[in-house]
Amino acid sequence: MKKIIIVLIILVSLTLGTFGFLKASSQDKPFFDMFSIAREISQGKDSILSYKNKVEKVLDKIEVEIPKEEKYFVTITFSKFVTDEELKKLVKEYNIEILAIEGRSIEKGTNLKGTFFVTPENGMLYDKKLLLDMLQRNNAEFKGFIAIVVNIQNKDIQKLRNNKIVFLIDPSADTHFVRNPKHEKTNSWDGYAPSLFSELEKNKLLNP
Amino acid sequence: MNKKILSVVVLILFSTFSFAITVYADRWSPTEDWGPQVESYSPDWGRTVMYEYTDSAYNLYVSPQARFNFTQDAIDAIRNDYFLYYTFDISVVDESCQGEGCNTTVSALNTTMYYSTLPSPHFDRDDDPEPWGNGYYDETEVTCTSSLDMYANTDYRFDSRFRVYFTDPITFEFTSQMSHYNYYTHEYDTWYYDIHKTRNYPWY
Repeated sequence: MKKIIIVLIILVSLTLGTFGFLKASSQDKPFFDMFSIAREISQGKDSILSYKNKVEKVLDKIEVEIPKEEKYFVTITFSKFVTDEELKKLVKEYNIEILAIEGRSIEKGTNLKGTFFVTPENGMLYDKKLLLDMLQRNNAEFKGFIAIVVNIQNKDIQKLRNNKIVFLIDPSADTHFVRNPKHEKTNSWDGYAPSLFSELEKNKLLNP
Repeated sequence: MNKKILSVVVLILFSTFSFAITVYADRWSPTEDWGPQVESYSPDWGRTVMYEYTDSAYNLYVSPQARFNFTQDAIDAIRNDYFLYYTFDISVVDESCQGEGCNTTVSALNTTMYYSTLPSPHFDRDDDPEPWGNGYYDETEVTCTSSLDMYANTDYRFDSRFRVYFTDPITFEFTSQMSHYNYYTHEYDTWYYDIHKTRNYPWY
Protein backbone atom coordinates (compact mmCIF):
# COMPACT_ATOMS: atom_id res chain seq x y z
CA MET A 1 0.00 0.00 0.00
CA LYS A 2 2.78 2.39 1.02
CA LYS A 3 4.61 1.54 -2.22
CA ILE A 4 1.57 2.37 -4.32
CA ILE A 5 1.16 5.72 -2.57
CA ILE A 6 4.82 6.58 -3.11
CA VAL A 7 4.58 5.64 -6.80
CA LEU A 8 1.42 7.71 -7.13
CA ILE A 9 3.05 10.72 -5.48
CA ILE A 10 6.04 10.42 -7.81
CA LEU A 11 3.75 10.14 -10.86
CA VAL A 12 1.66 13.13 -9.80
CA SER A 13 4.70 15.32 -9.16
CA LEU A 14 6.23 14.27 -12.47
CA THR A 15 3.02 15.19 -14.30
CA LEU A 16 2.73 18.50 -12.51
CA GLY A 17 6.41 19.21 -13.12
CA THR A 18 6.13 18.51 -16.84
CA PHE A 19 3.02 20.65 -17.03
CA GLY A 20 4.76 23.50 -15.23
CA PHE A 21 7.82 23.20 -17.46
CA LEU A 22 5.76 23.24 -20.64
CA LYS A 23 3.79 26.20 -19.40
CA ALA A 24 6.93 28.10 -18.48
CA SER A 25 8.69 27.36 -21.77
CA SER A 26 5.62 28.35 -23.76
CA GLN A 27 5.42 31.67 -21.97
CA ASP A 28 8.88 32.96 -22.74
CA LYS A 29 7.86 34.54 -26.04
CA PRO A 30 4.77 36.61 -26.77
CA PHE A 31 2.53 35.80 -29.73
CA PHE A 32 2.79 37.91 -32.87
CA ASP A 33 -0.26 40.16 -33.40
CA MET A 34 -0.21 42.34 -36.54
CA PHE A 35 -3.24 44.35 -35.39
CA SER A 36 -1.35 45.67 -32.36
CA ILE A 37 1.41 46.94 -34.70
CA ALA A 38 -1.20 48.46 -37.03
CA ARG A 39 -2.74 50.29 -34.07
CA GLU A 40 0.65 51.36 -32.74
CA ILE A 41 1.69 53.10 -35.98
CA SER A 42 -1.68 54.68 -36.80
CA GLN A 43 -1.45 57.62 -34.39
CA GLY A 44 0.40 59.98 -36.72
CA LYS A 45 4.02 60.88 -37.47
CA ASP A 46 5.34 60.57 -33.91
CA SER A 47 3.86 57.10 -33.47
CA ILE A 48 5.63 55.88 -36.64
CA LEU A 49 8.96 57.38 -35.59
CA SER A 50 8.76 55.94 -32.09
CA TYR A 51 7.87 52.51 -33.52
CA LYS A 52 10.89 52.80 -35.82
CA ASN A 53 13.05 53.71 -32.84
CA LYS A 54 11.86 50.73 -30.86
CA VAL A 55 12.58 48.31 -33.72
CA GLU A 56 16.01 49.90 -34.42
CA LYS A 57 16.97 49.11 -30.81
CA VAL A 58 16.17 45.44 -31.43
CA LEU A 59 18.41 45.56 -34.52
CA ASP A 60 21.20 47.18 -32.44
CA LYS A 61 20.87 44.36 -29.93
CA ILE A 62 21.10 41.51 -32.45
CA GLU A 63 24.11 43.19 -34.06
CA VAL A 64 26.19 42.67 -30.90
CA GLU A 65 24.56 39.55 -29.45
CA ILE A 66 23.69 37.26 -32.36
CA PRO A 67 26.00 35.51 -34.89
CA LYS A 68 26.41 37.38 -38.17
CA GLU A 69 25.06 34.51 -40.27
CA GLU A 70 21.80 34.14 -38.33
CA LYS A 71 18.80 34.53 -40.66
CA TYR A 72 15.75 36.67 -39.89
CA PHE A 73 12.24 36.85 -41.36
CA VAL A 74 11.64 40.56 -41.86
CA THR A 75 9.41 43.08 -43.60
CA ILE A 76 11.44 45.86 -45.19
CA THR A 77 9.53 49.07 -45.80
CA PHE A 78 11.11 51.31 -48.42
CA SER A 79 11.42 55.07 -47.96
CA LYS A 80 10.43 55.77 -51.59
CA PHE A 81 8.90 54.08 -54.62
CA VAL A 82 11.45 51.51 -55.78
CA THR A 83 11.95 50.52 -59.43
CA ASP A 84 12.42 47.05 -60.87
CA GLU A 85 16.11 47.80 -61.42
CA GLU A 86 16.69 49.09 -57.87
CA LEU A 87 14.95 46.03 -56.43
CA LYS A 88 17.11 43.59 -58.39
CA LYS A 89 20.26 45.44 -57.35
CA LEU A 90 19.24 45.39 -53.70
CA VAL A 91 18.51 41.66 -53.75
CA LYS A 92 21.96 40.93 -55.18
CA GLU A 93 23.92 43.34 -53.02
CA TYR A 94 22.47 42.23 -49.67
CA ASN A 95 21.90 38.50 -50.39
CA ILE A 96 18.16 38.91 -49.90
CA GLU A 97 15.88 35.90 -50.20
CA ILE A 98 12.63 37.42 -51.45
CA LEU A 99 9.43 35.79 -50.18
CA ALA A 100 6.97 38.46 -51.34
CA ILE A 101 6.95 41.94 -52.86
CA GLU A 102 4.41 44.66 -52.09
CA GLY A 103 3.85 47.44 -54.58
CA ARG A 104 1.76 50.52 -55.25
CA SER A 105 -0.46 51.15 -58.24
CA ILE A 106 -2.83 53.97 -59.10
CA GLU A 107 -6.31 53.37 -60.49
CA LYS A 108 -6.86 55.25 -63.73
CA GLY A 109 -9.57 57.90 -63.60
CA THR A 110 -10.21 57.71 -59.85
CA ASN A 111 -6.52 58.04 -58.74
CA LEU A 112 -7.34 55.53 -56.02
CA LYS A 113 -4.28 53.85 -54.49
CA GLY A 114 -3.97 50.13 -55.05
CA THR A 115 -1.65 47.57 -53.49
CA PHE A 116 -0.33 44.47 -55.22
CA PHE A 117 1.41 41.56 -53.53
CA VAL A 118 3.42 39.15 -55.66
CA THR A 119 5.85 36.29 -55.09
CA PRO A 120 8.81 34.81 -57.00
CA GLU A 121 7.81 32.35 -59.70
CA ASN A 122 8.94 30.82 -62.99
CA GLY A 123 12.54 31.56 -61.96
CA MET A 124 11.90 35.31 -61.63
CA LEU A 125 11.53 37.64 -58.61
CA TYR A 126 7.99 38.12 -59.88
CA ASP A 127 6.27 37.46 -63.20
CA LYS A 128 6.24 40.93 -64.75
CA LYS A 129 3.81 40.05 -67.52
CA LEU A 130 1.28 38.51 -65.13
CA LEU A 131 1.61 41.49 -62.77
CA LEU A 132 1.00 44.03 -65.54
CA ASP A 133 -1.94 41.94 -66.79
CA MET A 134 -3.44 41.94 -63.30
CA LEU A 135 -3.04 45.71 -62.98
CA GLN A 136 -4.49 46.25 -66.43
CA ARG A 137 -7.60 44.15 -65.74
CA ASN A 138 -8.14 46.31 -62.65
CA ASN A 139 -7.69 49.50 -64.66
CA ALA A 140 -4.55 50.39 -62.66
CA GLU A 141 -1.03 51.62 -63.42
CA PHE A 142 2.24 50.50 -61.82
CA LYS A 143 3.79 53.09 -59.53
CA GLY A 144 6.61 51.28 -57.71
CA PHE A 145 7.59 48.70 -55.12
CA ILE A 146 7.00 49.75 -51.52
CA ALA A 147 8.02 46.84 -49.29
CA ILE A 148 9.46 43.34 -49.37
CA VAL A 149 9.01 40.31 -47.12
CA VAL A 150 12.32 38.44 -46.97
CA ASN A 151 14.78 36.17 -45.20
CA ILE A 152 18.08 37.96 -44.62
CA GLN A 153 21.24 37.42 -42.56
CA ASN A 154 22.06 39.54 -39.53
CA LYS A 155 25.20 40.98 -41.19
CA ASP A 156 23.22 42.06 -44.27
CA ILE A 157 20.50 43.60 -42.09
CA GLN A 158 23.17 45.72 -40.41
CA LYS A 159 24.53 46.92 -43.79
CA LEU A 160 21.13 47.46 -45.39
CA ARG A 161 19.83 49.50 -42.42
CA ASN A 162 22.06 52.37 -43.51
CA ASN A 163 20.85 52.38 -47.11
CA LYS A 164 18.68 55.43 -47.80
CA ILE A 165 16.24 53.33 -49.82
CA VAL A 166 15.13 51.62 -46.58
CA PHE A 167 12.84 53.17 -43.98
CA LEU A 168 12.76 50.20 -41.62
CA ILE A 169 13.76 46.55 -41.41
CA ASP A 170 11.17 45.01 -39.11
CA PRO A 171 11.79 41.55 -37.58
CA SER A 172 8.65 41.69 -35.38
CA ALA A 173 7.11 38.59 -36.95
CA ASP A 174 10.32 36.54 -36.66
CA THR A 175 10.26 33.47 -34.43
CA HIS A 176 13.44 34.59 -32.58
CA PHE A 177 11.17 37.11 -30.83
CA VAL A 178 7.61 35.86 -31.07
CA ARG A 179 5.54 32.77 -31.56
CA ASN A 180 3.89 33.13 -34.95
CA PRO A 181 1.54 30.21 -35.76
CA LYS A 182 0.85 31.67 -39.23
CA HIS A 183 4.53 31.43 -40.12
CA GLU A 184 5.07 27.66 -40.00
CA LYS A 185 7.40 27.40 -42.99
CA THR A 186 10.57 29.49 -42.99
CA ASN A 187 10.47 29.87 -46.79
CA SER A 188 6.96 31.36 -46.90
CA TRP A 189 5.65 34.92 -46.47
CA ASP A 190 2.66 33.83 -44.35
CA GLY A 191 2.26 35.78 -41.13
CA TYR A 192 4.40 38.75 -42.26
CA ALA A 193 4.71 41.98 -40.29
CA PRO A 194 2.64 44.76 -41.90
CA SER A 195 4.57 47.28 -43.99
CA LEU A 196 4.56 50.92 -42.89
CA PHE A 197 4.48 52.46 -46.36
CA SER A 198 0.82 53.60 -46.37
CA GLU A 199 1.45 55.40 -43.08
CA LEU A 200 4.60 57.01 -44.53
CA GLU A 201 2.53 58.27 -47.48
CA LYS A 202 -0.22 59.58 -45.24
CA ASN A 203 2.18 61.40 -42.92
CA LYS A 204 4.43 62.73 -45.70
CA LEU A 205 7.47 60.81 -44.47
CA LEU A 206 8.60 59.57 -47.89
CA ASN A 207 11.99 60.48 -49.34
CA PRO A 208 11.69 62.62 -52.46
CA MET B 1 -1.46 21.86 -107.97
CA ASN B 2 0.27 24.77 -106.25
CA LYS B 3 -3.08 26.18 -105.33
CA LYS B 4 -4.06 22.88 -103.76
CA ILE B 5 -0.89 22.73 -101.62
CA LEU B 6 -1.37 26.32 -100.63
CA SER B 7 -4.93 25.74 -99.56
CA VAL B 8 -3.90 22.66 -97.54
CA VAL B 9 -1.18 24.68 -95.82
CA VAL B 10 -3.61 27.49 -95.13
CA LEU B 11 -6.12 25.00 -93.75
CA ILE B 12 -3.51 23.39 -91.47
CA LEU B 13 -2.30 26.78 -90.27
CA PHE B 14 -5.81 27.97 -89.65
CA SER B 15 -6.85 24.86 -87.72
CA THR B 16 -3.68 24.96 -85.56
CA PHE B 17 -4.33 28.58 -84.84
CA SER B 18 -7.96 28.09 -83.89
CA PHE B 19 -6.98 25.08 -81.75
CA ALA B 20 -4.43 27.23 -79.94
CA ILE B 21 -7.09 29.83 -79.35
CA THR B 22 -9.60 27.41 -77.87
CA VAL B 23 -6.99 25.95 -75.51
CA TYR B 24 -4.90 28.91 -74.41
CA ALA B 25 -6.91 32.08 -74.88
CA ASP B 26 -7.51 34.16 -71.78
CA ARG B 27 -11.17 34.62 -71.06
CA TRP B 28 -13.60 36.51 -68.86
CA SER B 29 -16.70 35.07 -67.25
CA PRO B 30 -19.94 37.03 -67.30
CA THR B 31 -20.25 39.45 -64.36
CA GLU B 32 -22.68 38.88 -61.49
CA ASP B 33 -23.66 41.58 -59.00
CA TRP B 34 -24.97 41.62 -55.47
CA GLY B 35 -27.28 44.23 -53.99
CA PRO B 36 -28.22 45.43 -50.46
CA GLN B 37 -26.99 43.10 -47.70
CA VAL B 38 -28.28 42.41 -44.21
CA GLU B 39 -25.12 42.88 -42.12
CA SER B 40 -24.26 46.44 -41.11
CA TYR B 41 -20.59 46.24 -42.25
CA SER B 42 -21.32 44.71 -45.68
CA PRO B 43 -20.92 46.52 -48.99
CA ASP B 44 -24.40 47.07 -50.43
CA TRP B 45 -23.16 46.83 -53.98
CA GLY B 46 -20.65 44.45 -55.49
CA ARG B 47 -19.66 42.90 -58.80
CA THR B 48 -17.89 39.57 -59.31
CA VAL B 49 -16.10 38.22 -62.35
CA MET B 50 -13.58 35.47 -63.06
CA TYR B 51 -10.65 35.65 -65.42
CA GLU B 52 -8.98 32.51 -66.72
CA TYR B 53 -5.47 32.57 -68.18
CA THR B 54 -2.11 30.80 -68.48
CA ASP B 55 1.43 31.91 -67.68
CA SER B 56 4.53 31.54 -69.87
CA ALA B 57 4.87 27.90 -68.75
CA TYR B 58 1.21 27.22 -69.72
CA ASN B 59 0.12 26.74 -66.12
CA LEU B 60 -3.60 27.41 -65.85
CA TYR B 61 -4.95 30.06 -63.45
CA VAL B 62 -8.24 31.61 -62.54
CA SER B 63 -8.54 34.98 -60.84
CA PRO B 64 -11.85 35.58 -59.15
CA GLN B 65 -12.30 39.30 -58.72
CA ALA B 66 -14.66 41.43 -56.66
CA ARG B 67 -15.46 45.14 -56.83
CA PHE B 68 -17.61 46.60 -54.10
CA ASN B 69 -18.55 49.80 -52.38
CA PHE B 70 -20.00 50.79 -49.06
CA THR B 71 -22.69 53.17 -47.89
CA GLN B 72 -21.72 55.71 -45.23
CA ASP B 73 -23.66 53.64 -42.65
CA ALA B 74 -21.53 50.56 -43.40
CA ILE B 75 -18.32 52.62 -43.19
CA ASP B 76 -19.44 54.00 -39.82
CA ALA B 77 -20.13 50.46 -38.58
CA ILE B 78 -16.62 49.37 -39.60
CA ARG B 79 -14.86 52.46 -38.24
CA ASN B 80 -16.66 52.39 -34.91
CA ASP B 81 -15.45 48.91 -34.08
CA TYR B 82 -12.05 49.20 -32.45
CA PHE B 83 -11.32 45.47 -32.20
CA LEU B 84 -12.73 44.15 -35.46
CA TYR B 85 -11.16 44.62 -38.87
CA TYR B 86 -12.85 44.43 -42.26
CA THR B 87 -11.77 41.44 -44.36
CA PHE B 88 -12.78 40.37 -47.85
CA ASP B 89 -12.46 36.64 -48.43
CA ILE B 90 -12.52 34.59 -51.63
CA SER B 91 -12.54 30.85 -50.95
CA VAL B 92 -13.12 27.57 -52.68
CA VAL B 93 -16.03 25.71 -51.14
CA ASP B 94 -17.29 22.21 -51.67
CA GLU B 95 -21.03 22.34 -52.09
CA SER B 96 -21.49 18.60 -51.69
CA CYS B 97 -20.45 19.07 -48.06
CA GLN B 98 -22.71 21.20 -45.88
CA GLY B 99 -22.13 22.82 -42.51
CA GLU B 100 -19.21 23.61 -40.20
CA GLY B 101 -15.72 22.38 -41.09
CA CYS B 102 -16.74 21.47 -44.61
CA ASN B 103 -14.54 23.95 -46.40
CA THR B 104 -12.62 21.31 -48.34
CA THR B 105 -10.46 21.83 -51.40
CA VAL B 106 -11.40 20.73 -54.84
CA SER B 107 -9.01 23.00 -56.70
CA ALA B 108 -6.29 25.21 -55.34
CA LEU B 109 -3.80 28.05 -55.33
CA ASN B 110 -0.12 27.92 -54.63
CA THR B 111 1.93 30.78 -56.04
CA THR B 112 0.61 34.16 -55.09
CA MET B 113 -0.63 37.31 -56.74
CA TYR B 114 -3.02 39.69 -55.04
CA TYR B 115 -4.39 43.13 -55.76
CA SER B 116 -6.60 45.36 -53.62
CA THR B 117 -7.61 48.98 -53.35
CA LEU B 118 -8.54 48.61 -49.67
CA PRO B 119 -6.27 50.91 -47.63
CA SER B 120 -3.32 49.31 -45.74
CA PRO B 121 -4.14 45.80 -46.90
CA HIS B 122 -2.67 42.69 -45.27
CA PHE B 123 -2.92 39.50 -47.32
CA ASP B 124 -3.47 36.02 -46.05
CA ARG B 125 -4.14 32.54 -47.38
CA ASP B 126 -5.32 29.34 -45.78
CA ASP B 127 -5.38 25.67 -46.44
CA ASP B 128 -8.83 24.59 -45.28
CA PRO B 129 -10.07 22.83 -43.30
CA GLU B 130 -7.95 23.95 -40.33
CA PRO B 131 -5.60 22.79 -39.03
CA TRP B 132 -4.51 20.12 -41.52
CA GLY B 133 -5.89 21.04 -44.94
CA ASN B 134 -4.69 19.04 -47.92
CA GLY B 135 -1.55 20.89 -48.98
CA TYR B 136 -3.34 23.38 -51.24
CA TYR B 137 -4.26 26.91 -50.29
CA ASP B 138 -7.94 27.32 -51.07
CA GLU B 139 -8.74 30.54 -49.23
CA THR B 140 -7.46 34.06 -49.90
CA GLU B 141 -8.13 37.11 -47.78
CA VAL B 142 -7.37 40.79 -47.64
CA THR B 143 -7.73 42.63 -44.33
CA CYS B 144 -7.81 46.41 -44.06
CA THR B 145 -5.59 47.28 -41.07
CA SER B 146 -6.59 50.96 -41.02
CA SER B 147 -10.39 51.13 -40.81
CA LEU B 148 -10.34 54.92 -40.43
CA ASP B 149 -8.98 55.23 -43.99
CA MET B 150 -11.98 53.45 -45.52
CA TYR B 151 -14.53 55.63 -47.28
CA ALA B 152 -18.06 55.34 -48.65
CA ASN B 153 -18.74 55.12 -52.39
CA THR B 154 -15.15 54.14 -53.19
CA ASP B 155 -14.19 51.52 -55.77
CA TYR B 156 -12.73 48.81 -53.55
CA ARG B 157 -11.38 45.72 -55.24
CA PHE B 158 -9.88 42.36 -54.42
CA ASP B 159 -8.32 40.18 -57.09
CA SER B 160 -6.56 36.98 -56.15
CA ARG B 161 -5.16 34.14 -58.16
CA PHE B 162 -5.80 30.44 -57.93
CA ARG B 163 -3.72 27.89 -59.77
CA VAL B 164 -5.94 25.29 -61.35
CA TYR B 165 -4.54 21.79 -60.85
CA PHE B 166 -7.63 19.77 -61.60
CA THR B 167 -10.62 20.97 -63.50
CA ASP B 168 -13.35 19.39 -61.41
CA PRO B 169 -16.12 21.94 -61.08
CA ILE B 170 -15.69 24.09 -57.98
CA THR B 171 -17.47 26.98 -56.31
CA PHE B 172 -15.97 30.28 -55.21
CA GLU B 173 -17.51 32.10 -52.29
CA PHE B 174 -17.21 35.91 -51.97
CA THR B 175 -17.53 36.93 -48.33
CA SER B 176 -17.20 39.98 -46.07
CA GLN B 177 -15.89 39.29 -42.59
CA MET B 178 -15.10 41.17 -39.44
CA SER B 179 -11.89 39.64 -38.07
CA HIS B 180 -10.09 39.98 -34.78
CA TYR B 181 -7.03 38.66 -33.04
CA ASN B 182 -8.09 35.91 -30.70
CA TYR B 183 -6.05 36.20 -27.49
CA TYR B 184 -6.87 32.62 -26.46
CA THR B 185 -6.17 30.70 -29.66
CA HIS B 186 -3.68 33.27 -31.00
CA GLU B 187 -5.31 33.10 -34.43
CA TYR B 188 -6.88 35.76 -36.58
CA ASP B 189 -10.50 34.70 -36.31
CA THR B 190 -13.70 35.64 -38.05
CA TRP B 191 -16.17 37.21 -35.66
CA TYR B 192 -18.96 37.94 -38.16
CA TYR B 193 -19.30 36.97 -41.80
CA ASP B 194 -21.70 37.62 -44.65
CA ILE B 195 -21.60 35.61 -47.90
CA HIS B 196 -22.38 37.91 -50.84
CA LYS B 197 -22.09 35.58 -53.78
CA THR B 198 -21.16 32.06 -54.83
CA ARG B 199 -19.98 31.31 -58.35
CA ASN B 200 -19.14 28.12 -60.18
CA TYR B 201 -15.87 27.52 -62.02
CA PRO B 202 -15.54 26.64 -64.82
CA TRP B 203 -18.48 28.75 -65.90
CA TYR B 204 -18.36 27.66 -69.56
